[in-house]
Amino acid sequence: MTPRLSLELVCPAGTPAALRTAVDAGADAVYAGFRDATNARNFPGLNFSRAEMREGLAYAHAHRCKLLIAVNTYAEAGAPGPWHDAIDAAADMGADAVILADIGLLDYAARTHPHLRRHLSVQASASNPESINFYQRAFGVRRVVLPRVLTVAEIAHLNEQIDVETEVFAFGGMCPMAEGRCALSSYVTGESPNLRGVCSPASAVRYEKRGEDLVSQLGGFTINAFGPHESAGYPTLCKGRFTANDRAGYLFEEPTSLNVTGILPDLRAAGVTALKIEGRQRGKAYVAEVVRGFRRALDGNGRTGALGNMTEGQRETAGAYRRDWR
Amino acid sequence: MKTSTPLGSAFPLPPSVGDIGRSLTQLCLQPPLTIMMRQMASHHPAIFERMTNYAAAVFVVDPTDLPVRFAMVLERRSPSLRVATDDDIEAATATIQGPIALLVDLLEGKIDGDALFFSRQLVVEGDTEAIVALRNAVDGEEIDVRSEIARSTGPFAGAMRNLIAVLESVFARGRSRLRTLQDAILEPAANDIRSQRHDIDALRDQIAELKRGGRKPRSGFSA
Repeated sequence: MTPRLSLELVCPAGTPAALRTAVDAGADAVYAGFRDATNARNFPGLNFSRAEMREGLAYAHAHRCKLLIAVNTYAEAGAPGPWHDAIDAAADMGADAVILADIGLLDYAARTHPHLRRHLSVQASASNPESINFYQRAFGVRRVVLPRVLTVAEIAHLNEQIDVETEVFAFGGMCPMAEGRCALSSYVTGESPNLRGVCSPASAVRYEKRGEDLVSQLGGFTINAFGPHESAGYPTLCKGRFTANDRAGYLFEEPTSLNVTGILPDLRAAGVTALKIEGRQRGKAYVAEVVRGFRRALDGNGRTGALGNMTEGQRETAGAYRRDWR
Repeated sequence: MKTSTPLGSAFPLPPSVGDIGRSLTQLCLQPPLTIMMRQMASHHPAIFERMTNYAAAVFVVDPTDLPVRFAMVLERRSPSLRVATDDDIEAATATIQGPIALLVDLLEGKIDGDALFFSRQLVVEGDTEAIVALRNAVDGEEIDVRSEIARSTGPFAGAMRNLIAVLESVFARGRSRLRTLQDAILEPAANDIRSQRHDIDALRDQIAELKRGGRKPRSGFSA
């Protein structure tokens, strides 16, 4: 039997039911956010009220699972109240950590709740030793969630130069990998993913059947049309199909999902502490299947099984971790 | 917007017959639908709480393999679930379309909505924000549709559970046989199309070759 890989499995929860599902499926930690603009998945009908988060925390702790609360958008200038409230609430209810990106909020959390563990969100886009060491020195950050731009070799080299745990994305949607700095969807929706927690907000999205084709629109612009036998993708500009130089195609990113099950030992050897499964906006069926799959793989009981049907575009990649095109 | 017949597109009927059919369908289905929605409001108040901003939204649920569509309004105090009228379909905030078994699995959280959408088994149209809110609100609950239906029949709940099991079994068998029949009819046609496509591609290649080199096409091609 393959030996157990001691990587912490950090799993998404957009609802209390998804949280319980993740815990039952074998998550070591669950990350979740409050139902407002303080977290980067501020979608309608999603996320937790204070009472739901408290109940979720009790459920997680009763099953020896940690709960990490994401307060990972950037606070509105001059009005940080909701973000401070979210951090205070996380500390009061005994969350195992807060996931932050904004240096003002990191400073607030470090000063106001020094014992509350602080993780640096991928939204901070910290990908080199100088940056990460700065966050560690200035705000006592204990873990950094690395952007998806690094190869395994680069992660190993980075880990040799920092004294902070690293968490990497293991499964889920890919993006142009400019987390925290991407304003692409803002140009057509007027909403910021980094300030309001909405990338391609649903209010700006329309799907329409035109004959056998499915057409997706964002902010009134047609950004993709899927043929009758073609897998669909998310309605983000980075996954749009455009015509340039008389050729239509995916200019930025194809609708493909990340899956690192093939390189788990490599990530462990590179000094990675935790694996993050993306998808707080996904349903509990996704959470159950993906978390169970990764739990099996980490416990040495085989691979994750077929997760392809869970992926955007129904295709998988190891992404930048194996940058074969270089 | 797709056009509608009173009982949906699966079994289009003449208007007068359709009106009678609609009335009969409403007559039979409305009482259990009303009770079911009341039960949902009672057992799953969190759904309605999460849907507060969409209380006036009319969701049309269109099971593609049933001759009926449903209109649903998740207003906390007076929620409603009914057989969709033409007016409902016309005024729908959003429409969700897919096979009934998948819609039930989706409602029960057994299957992921995004995965269904990626694979094109689920089609959504209209106000995406309202659909996303509905999906998230429903997914946050643990719903057992068969039990909800059975409970809506009051003292006949046990008998209804058995009936649902029998209907599901019959439905699954029927669908399997229909698929076999479809394959038997469509496969030869699909083979013909594939063969023709192959011939067309070969012709295109030859034309391109002619344009490039001005040479005569190879002999021996038969379309």
